[in-house]
Amino acid sequence: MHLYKSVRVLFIALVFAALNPLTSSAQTPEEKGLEIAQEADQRDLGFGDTSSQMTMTLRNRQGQESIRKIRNQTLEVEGDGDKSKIIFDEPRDVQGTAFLNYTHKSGPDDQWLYMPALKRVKRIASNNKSGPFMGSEFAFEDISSDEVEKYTYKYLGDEDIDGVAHFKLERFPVDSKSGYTKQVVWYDQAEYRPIKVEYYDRKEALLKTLTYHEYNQYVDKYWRAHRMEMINHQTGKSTTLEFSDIKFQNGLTDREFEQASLRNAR
Amino acid sequence: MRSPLHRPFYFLSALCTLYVALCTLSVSAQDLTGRIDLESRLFPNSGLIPGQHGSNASISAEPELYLDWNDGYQSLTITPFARFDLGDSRRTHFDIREAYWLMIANTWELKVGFNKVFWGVTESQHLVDVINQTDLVEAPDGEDKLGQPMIQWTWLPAFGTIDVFVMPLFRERTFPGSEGRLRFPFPIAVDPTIRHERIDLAARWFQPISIFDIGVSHFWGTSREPRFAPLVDDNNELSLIPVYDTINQTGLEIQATFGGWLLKVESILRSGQGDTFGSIAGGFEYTFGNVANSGADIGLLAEYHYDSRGSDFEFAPLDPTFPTPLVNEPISLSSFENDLFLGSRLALNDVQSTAFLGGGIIDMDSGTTSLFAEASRRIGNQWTISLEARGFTNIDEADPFYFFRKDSYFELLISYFY
Repeated sequence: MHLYKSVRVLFIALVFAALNPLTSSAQTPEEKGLEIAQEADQRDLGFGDTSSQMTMTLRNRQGQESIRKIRNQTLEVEGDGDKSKIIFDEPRDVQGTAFLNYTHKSGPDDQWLYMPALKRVKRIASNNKSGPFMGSEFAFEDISSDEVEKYTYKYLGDEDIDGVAHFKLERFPVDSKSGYTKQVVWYDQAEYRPIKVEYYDRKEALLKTLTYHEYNQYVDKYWRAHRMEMINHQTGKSTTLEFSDIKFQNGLTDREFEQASLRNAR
Repeated sequence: MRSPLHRPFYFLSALCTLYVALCTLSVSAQDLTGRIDLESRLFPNSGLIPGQHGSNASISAEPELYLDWNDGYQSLTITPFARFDLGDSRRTHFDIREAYWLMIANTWELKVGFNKVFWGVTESQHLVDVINQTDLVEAPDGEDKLGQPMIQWTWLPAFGTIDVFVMPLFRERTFPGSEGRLRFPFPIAVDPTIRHERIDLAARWFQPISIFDIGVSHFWGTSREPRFAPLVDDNNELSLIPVYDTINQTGLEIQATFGGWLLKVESILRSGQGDTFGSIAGGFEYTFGNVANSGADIGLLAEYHYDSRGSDFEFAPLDPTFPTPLVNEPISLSSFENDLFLGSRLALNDVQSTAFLGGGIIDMDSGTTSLFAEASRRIGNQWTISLEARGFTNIDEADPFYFFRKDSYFELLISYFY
């Protein structure tokens, strides 16, 4: 009887292991890393659309600040990357400039820029991912939508930060135009939210650290950080992004992400 | 010398200004934005014509008032423009760049009023761009445009964007006055007998298809680009009268975008202005992004221009007694019959958005070259400063630029944005 009981316990344990792939011992670190990224992505599916306002504070090594203000709209696209539109409010000389991006899971993004002084919509090259966004410490690739397919992954282990359990994994950009050789990402285990990202440059030296703060939950499901801090360790410069007026399910459609819509961007 | 037809325009302008003034009092500061420019130009060479100034100072303002209601599905945009110029009385001018009501519906949009529209893909010349008249008195590059009264209906079906334009009022091109630089050595007269009573029509289809952005357009109406008829008055003084023919112009524009490359071509076929002719402009723009991890971008540009009209410029004896009957047809002063543009752009992508742009256009037949260089950067959050140099070299006598051979200049522009 004793033996029977042991076999049953073992059987139940095995079933649990099979049902919960994250604890499966047969998994490689690469598989587990991918799985965490997929789970994090999965938990953000179905958000439909979002809009928000963003204040960007650029700081140089001496602590001098410059302010940028922009508005974002994002539309979830089933089976492909998101569509997004950014409208610039400040500095005033670029006010009304609008940037439209169709992200793709694979291949280059499609991007258009609207220049209000000329009333011109211009398709622009999207291969310059590693360049700075508006003179900030964020590169274009840091602010574009995080598609699972853009990286390969490797699970590094569990790590406690301030007593909270996190997954720690490495991700390696698939695109050779990326400015990074790798990134180290921490997700909290409870909600699979990114908490911290370390960026390593082409020489594999630590370049920047991004931290996410003040997470709020929307529509009982989707978590959004209200503040992001990017510090460049090599230059001493930093950038803070503060989000406000975050709204979900505004009823946005493809219509709001047409090239023609840039002409009315306000 | 203004035709009576200008009166309704000025009346409308005055009305709009009044409206802007009234609105300014009642709306919050957030809806009122704009810019004020202080411009100074220095011409190292004395002008060809006595009375032309060696330096110039100028101030311009372009406030913009924006109001929306109905969740932004309806709005009013009013952008007047005014310049006061010390050196050239014709450069002191007022315009309504924009004053339109916009309505946005699910599959269409409607704009009614003064508006500016841009068509095309190339950088050094805008062949296809035909809706707005050039405000040439602003700058010789022709990039500044006058507001065009129009009804613009935009339809957004699944197969692209279709814009239809009905334009009831024609705007004549502006030209520098007698004391201004960068002008012909004879006055541009305005013929009061010329009437522009027709309603101009235009339409354009635009659609991105994979890596291609494609636009096809047609314009039927009064040509924005004038031809010139020489006129010798009783005192044997020669002047040029701009002639605005009724034209049909079909335009095609294609841009292919891949990697760091933008390949561009735009072309027009125009009839109604002498013999039917075609023009084409095409080339590339290649950008090296984030060069050596500095964050800076370097762009290289090359564009070739061809115009089947060729060079029919025949003013050769610039003699005041130049006999008028020699020219039966008005003359076209198009100067891009076989020209090559080469340019480069450097954007530092720093906090101040420091940028440099330089280039030149070479006439492949005569060698006539025009060169330019621009540098700009932001100062603080609300100011920008830019320096520009524009010059002409190796100018052939038969080139329209020949009249500008002493008009190379430096420009300092300080702009305040609010």
